[in-house]
Amino acid sequence: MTTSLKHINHYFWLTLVALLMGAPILIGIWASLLPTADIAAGHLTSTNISLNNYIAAIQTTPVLRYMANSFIVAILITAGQFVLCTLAAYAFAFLDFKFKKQIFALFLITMMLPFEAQIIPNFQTIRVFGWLDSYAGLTIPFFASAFGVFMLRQAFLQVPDELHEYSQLIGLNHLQFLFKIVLPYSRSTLITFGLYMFLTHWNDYLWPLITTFSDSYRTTQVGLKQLQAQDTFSNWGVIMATAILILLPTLLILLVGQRYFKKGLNTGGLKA
Amino acid sequence: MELHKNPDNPLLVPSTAAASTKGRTLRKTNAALWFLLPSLVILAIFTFYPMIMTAIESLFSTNVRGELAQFVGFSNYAEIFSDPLFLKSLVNTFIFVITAGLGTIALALFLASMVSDKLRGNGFFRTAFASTMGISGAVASVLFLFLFNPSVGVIGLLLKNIGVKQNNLVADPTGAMIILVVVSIWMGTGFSFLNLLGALQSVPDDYYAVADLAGWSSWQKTWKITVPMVSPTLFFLLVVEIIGKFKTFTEIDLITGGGPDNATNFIAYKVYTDAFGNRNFGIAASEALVLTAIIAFATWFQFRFTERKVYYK
Repeated sequence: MTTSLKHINHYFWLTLVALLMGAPILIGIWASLLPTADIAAGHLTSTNISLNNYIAAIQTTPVLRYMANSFIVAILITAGQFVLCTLAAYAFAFLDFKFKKQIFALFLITMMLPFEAQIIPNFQTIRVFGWLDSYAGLTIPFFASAFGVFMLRQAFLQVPDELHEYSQLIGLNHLQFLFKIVLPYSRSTLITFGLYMFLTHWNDYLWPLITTFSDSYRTTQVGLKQLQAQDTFSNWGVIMATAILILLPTLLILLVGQRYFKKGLNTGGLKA
Repeated sequence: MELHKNPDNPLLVPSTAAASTKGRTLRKTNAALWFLLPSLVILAIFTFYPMIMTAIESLFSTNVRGELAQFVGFSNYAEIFSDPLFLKSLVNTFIFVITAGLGTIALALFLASMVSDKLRGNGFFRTAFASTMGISGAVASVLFLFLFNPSVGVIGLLLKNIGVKQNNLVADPTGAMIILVVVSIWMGTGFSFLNLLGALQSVPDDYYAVADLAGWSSWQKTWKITVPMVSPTLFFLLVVEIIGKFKTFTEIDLITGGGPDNATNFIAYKVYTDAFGNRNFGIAASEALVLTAIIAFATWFQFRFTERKVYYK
């Protein structure tokens, strides 16, 4: 086989596999543009495409409210984690203190404990606090993240000793050192951290499922179940449009963040 | 803010503070405390306390509000391990975790090996293959429910056309399991793919050049160079995938609801239904601890292994 034929063969298979992998999304997007009547009749080859399902989804379902809720919740959690994880990671990277190893181990241990096993008492705690069906209940339990601390600590440890010594020489205090040197130096990890945490919590399902009861606080992923359970279930056009709407921020983040994710994975793999 | 007014605030102590005297060590311990306290408080309330409570609840019978009623020792555990439904869910969970876990990694390895060389256009395909990463279980469920729908879905209709009588897979115990495995593989491939791509690309080209000189076949190169070189990543992914698959919940809740006939009622889902459906919190707590033990073991294994990997590098 000649080289160019080999290449054509290579690209043919790649395209085929890529289409298969992308099919669920591509078919979903296509169906979201078709009238439900055509979908119900099995006419997926129909060319009656329009944005009517999206208009219907926005007008007849609370999907925008759900998306706003998810956005608020994911942003609050990411911000909360950013503050708490940065502080803790700073201590583990730059400070000496008693029981440092033990406390770090304590953080790491929490990564072994599945949230599923904490959910019953946490539900009761939230109820006692009066946080059921509220942003506080949806966000505060996730403000601490051992994974986040670990990730930021690894990045902070990369700050050259020279910079640390220099900042001590000119008398920067902890917060000045953190804001002027450590955070700018760890920029790419911080972006990875932010995108990853936002995405993770945009996708949260079990906790909002249990703790939210009204459209005022229900998040997108749980909202999707709600819509599916209602009579809109047979309205495939609207359902697919809703799913695609919820998918858009995810795809956007992956597109923007791909560079950072790959870098994060590589350094993480080397350092972990 | 309080911070700026108080000169003694440890956050404002110069980061020099050398640990030469006892007083300074104490001061540094204080500083560290300020940095760690917020995280420790949240972890104490929402991670450690609930873990301990779950352990305690698993030793009690509870009322419908989830309050402890009576100490029953290990009888909740005895009950779940003699409950055919729990044992069935345990078996089904393992079947699912192993097939979906291995499937994810095999597909990811296949895709990564297709685009690991520097051919033009591979960058585009890398983006395409990684694109399922980060898609939520809920969205994936809806996309696949549509595909597998017996009367309107592409796959559902395809099955009908090739003469499959039961083309409503969700209603069939094996079919429902197959759908969940397919969805799980589809969702998980992106992450494993990116990891394996990185591992494949870090194998030095020289190794292959030397192998070429020695006249090795591509089969020999695969088994003697590629597989050993990426094996740490493969193993790492295996553990990560297994932990992730054990926690699968969203897809079950949306696609099968644990059915039909409890064929897809995996442990994580059973914990949820026993607690929030049947209001049997003691039983649910002991099931949750069994899940914890499995996941903790897998995580411990991973940490040990990753350490070894670093050592070898």
